Amino acid sequence: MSEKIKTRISKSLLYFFLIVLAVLCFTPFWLMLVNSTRSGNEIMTAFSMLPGGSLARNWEVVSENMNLGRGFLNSLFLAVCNTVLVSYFSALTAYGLAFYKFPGSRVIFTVMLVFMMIPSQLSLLGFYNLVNQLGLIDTYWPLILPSIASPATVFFLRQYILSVMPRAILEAPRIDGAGELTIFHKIALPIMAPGIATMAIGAFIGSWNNYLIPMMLINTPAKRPLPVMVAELSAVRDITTNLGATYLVVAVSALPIMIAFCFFSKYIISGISAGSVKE
Amino acid sequence: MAASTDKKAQRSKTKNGNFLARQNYHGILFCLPFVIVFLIFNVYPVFRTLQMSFMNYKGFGKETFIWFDNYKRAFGDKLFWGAFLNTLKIWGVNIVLQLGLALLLTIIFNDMKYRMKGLGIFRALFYLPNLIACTSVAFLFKTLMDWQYGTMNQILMGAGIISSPVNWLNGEGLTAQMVVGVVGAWMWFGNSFIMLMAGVQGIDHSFFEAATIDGAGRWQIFGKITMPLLRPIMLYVAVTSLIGGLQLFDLPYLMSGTKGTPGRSLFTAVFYFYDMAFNKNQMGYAAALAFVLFLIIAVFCALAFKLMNRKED
Amino acid sequence: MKRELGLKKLTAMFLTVAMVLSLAACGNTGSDGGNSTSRADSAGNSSSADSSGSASTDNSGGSDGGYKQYDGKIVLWTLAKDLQQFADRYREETGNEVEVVVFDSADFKTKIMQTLGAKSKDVDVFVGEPQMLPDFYEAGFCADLSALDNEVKTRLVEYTYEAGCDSDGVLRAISYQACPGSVIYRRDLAQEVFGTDDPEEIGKLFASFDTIEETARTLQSKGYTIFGDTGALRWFSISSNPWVRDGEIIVDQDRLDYFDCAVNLYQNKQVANATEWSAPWYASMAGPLPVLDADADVWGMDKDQLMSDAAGGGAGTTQVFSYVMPSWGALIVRDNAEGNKGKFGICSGVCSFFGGGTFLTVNEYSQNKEAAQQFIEYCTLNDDTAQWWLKESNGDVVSSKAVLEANKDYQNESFGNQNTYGFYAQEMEKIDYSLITGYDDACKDAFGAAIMSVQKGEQTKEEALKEFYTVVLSTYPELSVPADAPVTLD
Repeated sequence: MSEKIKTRISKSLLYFFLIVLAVLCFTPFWLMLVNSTRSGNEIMTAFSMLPGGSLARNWEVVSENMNLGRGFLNSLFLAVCNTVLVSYFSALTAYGLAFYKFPGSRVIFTVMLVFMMIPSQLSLLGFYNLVNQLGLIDTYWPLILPSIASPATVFFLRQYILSVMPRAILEAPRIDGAGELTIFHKIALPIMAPGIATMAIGAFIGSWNNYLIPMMLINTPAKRPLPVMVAELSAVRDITTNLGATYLVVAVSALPIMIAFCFFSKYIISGISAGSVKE
Repeated sequence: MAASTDKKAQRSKTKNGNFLARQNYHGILFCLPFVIVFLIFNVYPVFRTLQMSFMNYKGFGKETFIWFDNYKRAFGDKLFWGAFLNTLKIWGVNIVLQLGLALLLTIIFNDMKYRMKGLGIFRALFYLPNLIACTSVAFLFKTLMDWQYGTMNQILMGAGIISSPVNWLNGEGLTAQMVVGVVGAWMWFGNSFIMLMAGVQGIDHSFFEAATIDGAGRWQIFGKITMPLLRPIMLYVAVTSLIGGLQLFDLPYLMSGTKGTPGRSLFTAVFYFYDMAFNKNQMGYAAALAFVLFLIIAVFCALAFKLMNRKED
Repeated sequence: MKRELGLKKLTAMFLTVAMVLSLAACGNTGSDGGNSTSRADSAGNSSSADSSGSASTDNSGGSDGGYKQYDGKIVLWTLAKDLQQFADRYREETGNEVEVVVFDSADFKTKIMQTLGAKSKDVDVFVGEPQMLPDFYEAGFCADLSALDNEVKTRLVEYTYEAGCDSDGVLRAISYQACPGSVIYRRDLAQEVFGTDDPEEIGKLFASFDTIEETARTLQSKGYTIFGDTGALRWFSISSNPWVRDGEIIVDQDRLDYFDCAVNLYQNKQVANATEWSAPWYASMAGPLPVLDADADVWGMDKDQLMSDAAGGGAGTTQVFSYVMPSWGALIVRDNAEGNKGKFGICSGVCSFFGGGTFLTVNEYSQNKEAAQQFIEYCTLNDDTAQWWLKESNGDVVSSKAVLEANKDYQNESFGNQNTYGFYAQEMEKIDYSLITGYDDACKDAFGAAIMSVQKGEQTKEEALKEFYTVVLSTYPELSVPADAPVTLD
């Protein structure tokens, strides 16, 4: 009996802790939404948890200065392409590295790790030169293609697949004569799904929030993704008039991420309950 | 179970060597797209940078080879090493909180006795800070932690925890470093938590059930089952956070208003070289700094791998 | 910390930098098309501007006839939207199309460096601020504009001509704007404390670092603060010597005075702790601020209550007397003054200075150089354009000497009917461009950091100065410390 009460008390305490943590995580998000309804002056001079009345005015500033819908579509296109490429090719590579022994597999793995350690800010120069030599400035190719090679994701998925997928699981289909690629698609991919989803969220967000590379490579305003548009907005006028508008754009641009996240979040859970790991 | 797997594998290996070789050739095919793109978009730019680090290059105009002069300068550059020390301090605060919190949450949600509910919702909420661009996060915290008008001081003083306002971001260097470390942890602990949970959920649940039936305690299960099985994922989280941590840039850059103040306490190593490359037009020297930093990170990572692998034996 | 996709790490500066830096970047506040109050303002003044504007038509470089019609469009890259208005007007008047692409100022220089470093033809005209220009020249991005040399030299403000020339004296960039410095002060407070609000008289109070300290004391005795923070003094750091001469870092007596003055003002609490570009700094333009420092126990109170007390001018509040900024800063003060609008005056300080400005230049690799140059001429050398812009922005200082002269008696009601153009034209005469070096930003930043560490009592003056030299030397190893430096390095 007392054991039960003890459990209940500590459980309540734990829930309390979790809720406090959750509130801490949610507050800035809420502030962002609130600020998108306030004027620049209000935001700068006072703090508030309650919405203000400048939403219409902020929206006006935004729509005067940019084609938000266009930026939205651009960002969405880039993010979806990147997420798909990162997910599929990283899984394929991780699977290849983890379950096949071929000359050079260790080399690939090591080189990959080594390159993760190089501060990426610096390859900006070389990267730009390269894109220019390939004649791909002001196109989406250099924003999409590199995601085929995402060392950090491959590293994660390799570790992941090693810890969740027993080698023996491949025996039966091989004996049945299934092709290697089919085995990957039918067996490995579903097992890796939770891990892939985890990385896919990161890839989507990374692409959605990516600013510097598109800013460098894209010259045509109509091709700009959202973050570059936001930056332009803040360059247009003085801060007091557009701070609220800037928050509005940020809030609007965060919505699809929320949706994408909810989707993937469910996917993780369903991936687990599918139970392909269990025998 | 593990033993039988090995046996089976061995059997098929001895039986059908050619068949296996053919399969392994698929491994090369599977890695090929990655390798090609990797060579073009990752390896080439880095080698270009390496070449630059031996040159007296401003980012434009003439490039002349000066060989190791940039490296000599880097090793004697007090500011760079000061920046590196700052990085370690900020990262230290960050990593303890971030991984500690993530691990604690993982334990809470995997406790067989409590069977905590609402994992989906909490996980989503904890991940929220990751969704907002770093710039917005920095801006929000700068506003909240303003020492004169910031809400943080108001709350703390209202609660009687402090008696005079703390100048969080523009007073003592160490305070500012701690603040940035904590904000970083706030941003990223949800991510680490998801990683660890993904790892735990990959573990067969029957392990836990069996252990619980056998009467194993919470900490025993954690130490004997969860941790060892989590090792590959833990290694991943540890190594990537080490790499990411030593490359810390955005947060201190933005929270100090791109200035690295107070003092130079928020100048991190990457911040310093970014400043050199793009503000001070010393691209060649910046490239050398990047490679020095890379060497340091490589040593740290090698140590991390050694440590993790030793435990496995 | 989390390591994401390789490229994601590069999301170095997204939104906030944009916000913070677009403030620090200068010269882009001239337009405020969306601000209804200033629109009314310019309407109210249009009659006087119109009448003076007519004076300029006779010496313009051919406003109607001279422009050719070119096929296609030219592309302009800029960091402020002002030039969109120029482009619209240019289209209306000449039928030529200019596509204006705005980039965020924080990354603008990097963008230009990368794009033109790759010899891109995608841009025809781009802008630069004075501190970026030397790099652009050296990199060979800017086409030779020496065909216009004589006109620019004779008709535009001198320092803009000098900043537009590369190290060999070849003209490569032209500005439509000039950004001379000023002290922007509260006339009503000046009357109350000093018995006068005459710019000449108030200028005397800011004539040297000694008088500034004296002025600060007087203001303090009435409960006012001289500046928002001591950063305001940094504009006076280049008075008689450049920061670097013959490879030596120069810390002369003026700079040491500046150092002491900044430390004293801070430690005597004669500044308001309202850092430039912070919320309280903006708020200070419109009214009183609560005095908040470590000693004041105002935190138990409700903040709204406190703010309303402050607005009533109650105890525990202060008002900021002045701001030191280039001409575009005066417009920032004006736009944030609210109830204090019209109560500001403009005077000179310790020395004349300039800050920012938008220079136009033709891309060396452009295939429309002729059309590009014509647009630049239209923006900078056409006095009708200058007159139009002066009126449109109602306060932005243009580079055309004739137009400034024509407007020298124009009384700007936002500044107590002061003839601001006359004042700024005078100030510009005194700007000595030869004192500007490529090391200025780094030196100013390091010196400011040294001052701050002494203000907070973290270092002695000697330690701080040593650190200053160390920082500058680490950044630029080619420099040296002269033998007569105020401190000796170990």
